Formats: sequence, C-alpha cells, structure tokens
Amino acid sequence: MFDYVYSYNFVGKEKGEDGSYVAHLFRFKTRQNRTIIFRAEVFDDPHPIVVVKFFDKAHRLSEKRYSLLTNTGGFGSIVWTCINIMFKDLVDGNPYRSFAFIGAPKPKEMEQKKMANTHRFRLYANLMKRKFTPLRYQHTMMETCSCYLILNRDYCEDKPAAMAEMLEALKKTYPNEAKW
Amino acid sequence: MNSFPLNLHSTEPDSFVRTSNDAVKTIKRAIDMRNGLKSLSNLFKYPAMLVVFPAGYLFVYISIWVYNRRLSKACSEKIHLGNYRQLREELLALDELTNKLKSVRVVPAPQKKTPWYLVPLMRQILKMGKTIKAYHASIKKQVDVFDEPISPMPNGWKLVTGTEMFEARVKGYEYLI
Repeated sequence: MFDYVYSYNFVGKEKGEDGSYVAHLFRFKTRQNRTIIFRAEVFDDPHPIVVVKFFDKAHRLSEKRYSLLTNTGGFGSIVWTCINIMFKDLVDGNPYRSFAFIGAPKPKEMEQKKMANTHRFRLYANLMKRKFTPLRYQHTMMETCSCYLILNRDYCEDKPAAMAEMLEALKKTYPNEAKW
Repeated sequence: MNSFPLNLHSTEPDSFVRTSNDAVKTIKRAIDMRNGLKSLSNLFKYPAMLVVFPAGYLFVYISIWVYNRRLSKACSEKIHLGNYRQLREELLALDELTNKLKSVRVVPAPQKKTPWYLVPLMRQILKMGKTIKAYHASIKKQVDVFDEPISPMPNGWKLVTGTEMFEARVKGYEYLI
C-alpha cells in the first residue's frame, strides 16, 4: 500500500497573499488517472517551516478541495509520494525546515462540524510518527483542531520561542482552523 | 521527471555502523559466564581444591579479567545516534539482560569473613555487573532525552514522545493496512 511512489513534476512557485510565504507546487498523476496537486507553503521568516497540503486537480476550484474524496483508491501511494517530495525536495532545500499540516475533515465530518481528531489527522499522524525520526524531529499535535507539527530539533533546540512563533505563522495559512 | 532511489522507509540514514549489538552480545555472554560461576563458587568452598589446582584458579581469574576488559571496551564505545530504532532495541535488550542479572544474584560483595583467595575473583565479577548497569543507564539516559520537549508546549499542544513513536513504528504498518 505504502510502497509505490509516483513520478512528480515541480510546477512552479506562487507567492502568498500577504507575501509571508512562497507556495511550491508539485503535480503527479495516479494509476487511476487523477492528477494530484501537492502544495507546500514555505515560510522562511521568522523560522523555516513548511505547511503541506494536497488535493485532486479536479477539485481545485472548490472551496472544500482539501476535504473532498476522490473515491478511486490508491490513497497510500499518494501520501507516500507526498512524503517523498517532503524528503527529496523540501528537506534537501533547507535541512532546518519544520513541517506542519492539518488533517482536513471528510465531507461527513464537515456535515457534523467535526474538526477535532479527524480521520485524516489520525491516519497522517500515524504515518508521520513512523517516517520522521525523533532524533531529528520533535512531534507535537493538537487534537482539538487536528493539527500536527514536526519541529526540526537542530533548528529549534536553542530557540525556545520558535514553536510559538511558528504557530503564529500557521495561523496565517489556516485562519479558520487554527484555534490556539 | 524525478527518479526515485526508493529508500523511504525512514528518514534515518543507512550508514549506521555501530558496535551496539556487539555490546549486547558481550553482555549476554558475560551474564552467562557470571551465572556459570555459580557452580564454580561451590568449588571454592573447599580451599583444598585450590591448592590442588592453582592453575585452574589462575585460569578462571585471568579469563574473567580478560572478559571484563572486553566488556568495558564494548560498553565504553559511544553510541552513534544515527538510528533511533536500534537505540530502542538496544535498550529493550538491555532491560531484559539487567532483569536477568538481578534475578540471579550469585556473587555477594566480599566481606571480612570472605577468604582472601576469593576476594579478587568476586571483585572482578562485581565489576562486570557494574559495567553492565552503567551501560544500561547511559542508554536509558540517551533515550529519555527524546521524551522531553525542546521548548515549552503552548496550551492545548501535546508532545508525541519518542516512546510513543517507537511503539507506532512497530505496530503502525499493521494498523494502517
């Protein structure tokens, strides 16, 4: 399930609305012929942190693009490819980067207005625990808003205020979901 | 297009060259040897045996001394922190071994009543136990570092400790499938 990586292309960069981040866009095609867009919002100031998101290209115009399901299967390989991009392109670009994501609610969970401990969050959190070694990263999470933060030890060890400042950056990219 | 040398199973480098397993093996053998001395200690109850077989006594003493040296060397090599999983596995193995060490306590500390010829042997054997315990403590200390936050946790945020991550790593795959 988690053993196949799709070939991906770097599509380009996009500046954030307020210029606080640069979004790196990647694209890959699944076996089911769906095009997935992987979006990494890279903050370099004040601290290097990357917020990762992905969605189906067919849903790009929808406001709920991160929540919608494709129902075509192949989820494992999609996530695996995203992790590959994180390792290959984002960590290589700057080894001091930290990562963050929010497990978006599924359509059913959205109907119930459930934001805490979503299914996607549980799934991704488990993967991250297995993939990012605690030697280099410290994992933290906030279940009430399904947010997961992977802090780079090398960078944050001598900066006790870094985490709080990174969370401020996260608020900009998740204005509705961030409740801290 | 990108090509993928697929080693994505972890972020941990492959170049983990460490003698940690050697240390565990040495400790295992040391404990076996120590437990084997139980029957030997009965022999020492009869000083006549030692008079008859001084060469035997010397042989036992020298072999324990040599083994102690090897053990100290294996345990003094610093662990290269390249692979968290192996570090945890080492700790698990050491937990088991130290429990074994506690359960079979054959050699007490030398006392006033202890015959002079047994004292050097006992000292060597006790030294063996101390080395193993010190090594266990140092590994535990290294592992515990990853269970503590590097910065104060803001309200509502929870730390995922190294222990939790190790457990997730072991069970994770089955759970996800």
